[in-house]
Amino acid sequence: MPEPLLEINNLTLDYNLGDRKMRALDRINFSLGKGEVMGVAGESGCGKSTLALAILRLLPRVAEIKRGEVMFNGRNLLTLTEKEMEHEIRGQKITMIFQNPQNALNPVFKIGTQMTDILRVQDKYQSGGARKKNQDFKQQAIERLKLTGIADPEARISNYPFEFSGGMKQRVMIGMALSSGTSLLLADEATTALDVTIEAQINRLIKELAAKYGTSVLYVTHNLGVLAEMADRIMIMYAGRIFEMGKTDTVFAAPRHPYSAALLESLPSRQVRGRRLLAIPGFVPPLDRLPSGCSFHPRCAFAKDICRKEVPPLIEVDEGHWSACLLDQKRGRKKWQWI
Amino acid sequence: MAVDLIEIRNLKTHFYQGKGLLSKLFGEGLKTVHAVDGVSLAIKKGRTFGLVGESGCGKSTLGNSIFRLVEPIEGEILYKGHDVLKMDQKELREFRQQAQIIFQDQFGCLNPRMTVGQIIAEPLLMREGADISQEKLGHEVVELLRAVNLDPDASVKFPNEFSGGQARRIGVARAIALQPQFIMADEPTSGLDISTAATILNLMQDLQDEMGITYLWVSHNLNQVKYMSDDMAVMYLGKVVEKGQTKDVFSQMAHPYTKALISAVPKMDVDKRKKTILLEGEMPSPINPPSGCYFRTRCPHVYQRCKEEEPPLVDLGGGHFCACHLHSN
Repeated sequence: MPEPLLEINNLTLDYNLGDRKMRALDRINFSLGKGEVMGVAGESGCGKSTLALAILRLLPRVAEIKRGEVMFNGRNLLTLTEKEMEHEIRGQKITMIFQNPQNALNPVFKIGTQMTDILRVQDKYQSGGARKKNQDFKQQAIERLKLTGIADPEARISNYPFEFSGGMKQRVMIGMALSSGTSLLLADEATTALDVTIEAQINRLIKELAAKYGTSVLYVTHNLGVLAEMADRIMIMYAGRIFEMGKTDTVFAAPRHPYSAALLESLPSRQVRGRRLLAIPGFVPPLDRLPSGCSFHPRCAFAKDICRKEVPPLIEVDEGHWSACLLDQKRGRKKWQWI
Repeated sequence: MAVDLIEIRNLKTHFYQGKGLLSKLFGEGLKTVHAVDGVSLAIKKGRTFGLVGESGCGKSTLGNSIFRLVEPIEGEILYKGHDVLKMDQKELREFRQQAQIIFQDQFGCLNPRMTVGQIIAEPLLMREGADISQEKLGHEVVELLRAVNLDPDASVKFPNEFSGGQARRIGVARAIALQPQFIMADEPTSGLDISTAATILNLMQDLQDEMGITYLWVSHNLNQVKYMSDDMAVMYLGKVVEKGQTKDVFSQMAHPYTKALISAVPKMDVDKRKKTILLEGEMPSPINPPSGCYFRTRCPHVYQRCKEEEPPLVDLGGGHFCACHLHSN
């Protein structure tokens, strides 16, 4: 286990919508090592994006962190002032790339202008006053573009975002996000909008640059296949909780939680032509009306009485392999064959 | 051997881009987008034909051309032997009753101001005219909702009251309302969660088993096409580069583009994980396609001949075709 960079302890977060209280994150505990790639998977509404945004404290006003800590390099990010977050953390030590690079770039400014703006801000807070010339920033921007594999960066830097394809825009975002100063990259569905061949290019780039700078990555996606290739470890989330966490290959080969097993069985890539896919019965419950006990029990084919009564804790069931299923923990059931 | 329901011969659909009125009037400076550029393929009755390729390869344009939602400039589309492109309005109307589309945007294709019952009843009203009794109509709507595993109460609700997966089911219910022979499904699970996507795939397979519907399955998801389709074609820049039975294309992929595309799909199982073939750059613009083979600008095996000659689609045996000079001798 590498030295931890990010440690999340007991993080619990509510969205307060009028009289409805939605618990979007419930007792999230995990740590991310230096240089490690951690995958976060789960269906829409499971809280995976909220988790990424909570780390950067970029949540909407209705969100309220009830308790917990986000320890980053030994400092609790939740207790920093807004100014400290802005000057030292966001866009400096922790950066984020989003699903739609189109929305992250301003359409009326040139790519070069937007990149040098970022560099200037980063420089201002990092170097503390030693003034650089515009030309230096421009050169630096060109180097970043080159690093991300964009051909002819000297000319491309004067282009506008609409002149770039989706894949190239995502390269620009990665170029802005990953540099020697960044120690944590949050990628939220960063390649979901791209074609498979471009997706493979971008994921390769993230992996290479992260390895080069020793950056840790929290890679949020619903695509389990991408995580199989990208992530060292993976966590599966459901209704605001972590259901399972462990080495990617171990979790995929022998999931300890029935929900993870179900997700894997519903993938067409794992099924032969003509055989039915697993469709998990029912729906993801609304976060303000979670079922009692294990929140997955109404949909779980294996549920017993105990699952309705007790909330399963996330326990280390094997070395480095965590799971939150009472049947596993108390009855010793380890295999889940849905169909 | 199944018979062909739809046969497409040398289909070309081009779009024109001009700078302004003058170029439109005189045809000067007009750019031609070769969206579909000489495609031939046959869709067999009762089976599923998968059409794959990256964004901008022309797969959706090809699908839309079959319904004449865009007008092709050349070629033939034979539906049970009749050329769709030569049909008059009346014939086209009949054809469009037998051929339906499930659209990619599950909410965009449902009128937000109509109830689900009205949406599903609309094709029935179009066919029957005003003669159909309300009672019979209501009965049919309930049957259709049941067929796609939706609650009959859904008919009085509006589309915004449904989740993405349910909205997709409404689209499916409308598509099967007239008992069509052929359905084009354009990215039918895009934007859906894993387990929701699985329910849609199961549903579509059940409907095919019960009603014998032929599918044209347009998708960029190769795992899904492998799982769903019997035959498939891979498109690149408006052309078919490889086609054949799905099992042959996956087990004996011949075209370098197919190989790269399939290798780029992330693999779940460690032992199946081979080296991903990373393609350089992106697809060229269909306004100015490269000379010779369209794929040569990104192909790892490119040689002189690829620049000069366009590779023909060659039969590799058993109806497996590939357009690449590596296989054309």
